[in-house]
Amino acid sequence: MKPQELKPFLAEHPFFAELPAEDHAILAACAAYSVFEAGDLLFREGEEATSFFVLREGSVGIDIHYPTRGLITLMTLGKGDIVGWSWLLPPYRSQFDARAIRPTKALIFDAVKLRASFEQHPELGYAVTRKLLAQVTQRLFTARIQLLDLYGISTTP
Amino acid sequence: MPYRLDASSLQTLFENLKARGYDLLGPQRKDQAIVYDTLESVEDLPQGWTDEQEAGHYKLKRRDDDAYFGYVVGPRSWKRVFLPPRKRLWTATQKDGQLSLEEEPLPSQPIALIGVRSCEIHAIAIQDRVLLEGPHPDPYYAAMRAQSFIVAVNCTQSAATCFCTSMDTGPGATFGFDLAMTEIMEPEHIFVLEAGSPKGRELLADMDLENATDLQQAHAKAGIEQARQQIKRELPQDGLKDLLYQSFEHTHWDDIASRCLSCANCTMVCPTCFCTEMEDVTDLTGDHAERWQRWDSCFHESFTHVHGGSVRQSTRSRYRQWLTHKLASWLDQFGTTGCVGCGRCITWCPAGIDLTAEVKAFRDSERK
Amino acid sequence: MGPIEQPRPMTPRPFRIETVKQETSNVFTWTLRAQKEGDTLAFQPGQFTMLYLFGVGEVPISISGDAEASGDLIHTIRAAGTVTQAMQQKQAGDLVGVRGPFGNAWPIEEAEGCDVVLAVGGLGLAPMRPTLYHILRHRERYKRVYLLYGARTPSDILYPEELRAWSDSGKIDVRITVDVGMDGWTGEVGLVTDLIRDIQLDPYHCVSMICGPEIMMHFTARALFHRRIAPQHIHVSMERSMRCATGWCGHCQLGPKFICKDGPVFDYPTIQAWLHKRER
Repeated sequence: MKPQELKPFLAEHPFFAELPAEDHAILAACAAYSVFEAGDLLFREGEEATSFFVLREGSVGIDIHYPTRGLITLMTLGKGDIVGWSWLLPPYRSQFDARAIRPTKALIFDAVKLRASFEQHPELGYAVTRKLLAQVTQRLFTARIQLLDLYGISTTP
Repeated sequence: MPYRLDASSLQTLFENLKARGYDLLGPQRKDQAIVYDTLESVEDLPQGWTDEQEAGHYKLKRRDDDAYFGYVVGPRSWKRVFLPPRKRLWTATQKDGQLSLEEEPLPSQPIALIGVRSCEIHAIAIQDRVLLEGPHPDPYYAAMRAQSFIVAVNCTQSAATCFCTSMDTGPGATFGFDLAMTEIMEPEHIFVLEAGSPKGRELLADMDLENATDLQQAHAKAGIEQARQQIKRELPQDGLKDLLYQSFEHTHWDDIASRCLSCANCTMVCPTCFCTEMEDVTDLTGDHAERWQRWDSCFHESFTHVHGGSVRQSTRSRYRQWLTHKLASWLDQFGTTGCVGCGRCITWCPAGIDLTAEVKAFRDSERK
Repeated sequence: MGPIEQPRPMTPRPFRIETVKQETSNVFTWTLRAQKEGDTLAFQPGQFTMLYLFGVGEVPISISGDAEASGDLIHTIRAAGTVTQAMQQKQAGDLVGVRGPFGNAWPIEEAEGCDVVLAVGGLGLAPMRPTLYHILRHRERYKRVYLLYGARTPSDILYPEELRAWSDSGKIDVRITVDVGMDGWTGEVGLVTDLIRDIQLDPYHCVSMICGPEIMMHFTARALFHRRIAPQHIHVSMERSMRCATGWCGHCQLGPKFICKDGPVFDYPTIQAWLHKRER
């Protein structure tokens, strides 16, 4: 798919919708369209984080391998969510696995190109970073609540 | 129409009550305090004694006269009659694949309460709301209340810890009694007596008493007025509920908590505090179990225990619960404050914590 | 005052354990039948009983059976404290005592003609099951019905066969999320609040009932506010130390409310101010 064809996807996606059209053009130049089958890896723990994913459909799990239990899913992400932020900051290494649970459609951004365009257009970089931080905040909230292990405590009656 | 009863004839009132089948309960000196317990005769009454009270202070003293009811209130309230400190609810046996439960028989012995103060009548009425007017009336309480005969004694003196005038609960009894007496020493030692119920009127009719003279009635009134005048403490009710609800995060709770021992004395002596614990006990053979209901207190850490811990773990939160419940949420729950101004919690606090002073501290800080 | 209730409200009635079903490693379901023939226990969804284990003690447990099915009393219990752990050792044929039912009910009538969002966390599904049975029996009275369920792990999910059947019937939109996905779980991993984001509803004609730990209920209510559901149409089931269940003992007070006689179900505005008080 050509960058020009990706622009409408950017405009309708909640993560980018508020950005001006010229930013959509810049972003589209870094992006490709991709489809994952259930079980496909988006990225793997420890590998270089080369991509940023924005989900259009489907479901992706953030996984970690636990020696005695196999794969454990820490959270699932779906339509409208973003996947991966290790590409933004050194050392650019993924900390978890990301795996498609169901057939998933996503926009993939090339991390090197994306960082370069942020350097070139700091306002765009700032805007995207803010959106990213909002998602990070939301996930930190979720993680904190999960840390409480609420359902380990009695809830009767 | 009020009647006169010579002090020397008080025993005839007792005899009349006994003849009607009542066991008598009333004041007597015990363990250096005046407490309510079974009365045999007027000999048991604390004649010629009074109580000196202050925050954290209670002392019996001789009076310079022979008044029978010349004291104010002691550590026991009448709640132990209707809501005993400990009572068995049922006994269970499990044998041969059968579980059977036997309910404790309800009390059937009528009792006459002698010397009930006006604030205590209010306290009984408040507990009636709690234990009789909810979705499940307490059967024991109901049985005891139905069989009780109340002889009120109007206060003619106050303790330094009293504040019934703020709570509109005294010093004279206005309802909730079968008989009300005012003991006067001048011009002669008599009781001015009036009935407050058909049961009381019937009893007075049988006693064939003389009417009290205008002068005697005036002396009785003056005695009650004297008690009113003697009251020093106050607990203004104006806006109190909102004040306490709004003071939930106030730092003054920390100040109180630094003094409060969380000993629960205030809740034990309080005539309206009704919280209880249900306690299951079993014997060594394992085929016999019982449930007991005993007084509990919101000052105990275990009081709010749920799986995972107690909700109110600090003294601060427990004192706050007690005071806020007593003076604020009680109004939302039962349409009345939970305090009758008897001052027991002030007297019997080993740290001398005075709720009237604590409420004033909240008020003063609000004005600043 | 009316006549005294018989048996007295503090006296348990003997019931026999008919069946024990182990739901998860520490959660089990009892089917109970009165020892005395003809002694049945009518209840409304949301009510609870006090279950007495001879010689051990008594605990409040919500009823998790079908209020309109005749006969047995059903309770799902988690072995968490002394009494419930001892209960887990009991078998079919053993006897227990039952008092109740006590407390108020879920607002199943208020919800008629509305979208219904049932949000539960952990064992909170058990007290909600009678509501689900009611809705399934009278499905035509309700519009969209969601069951949003947060569990700890996939193996902690209660009533999995029933959940599947409800979902397959198309009568209830069942959405489940777990805190930790393992053992081949391919469903959602996250919070119940995340499930609210994706459901379709008419916020002006919607009633929600929430049951779970207080923090879960608080954040779930907040997520529902974001969907414009009015606070008075959000109902929560509260828990506090409960000893008598009759309103006598004072233990279960939350602000001016007694959980046992004013609750356990409260509309959110009634309980909100007290839910946020920081005790301790």
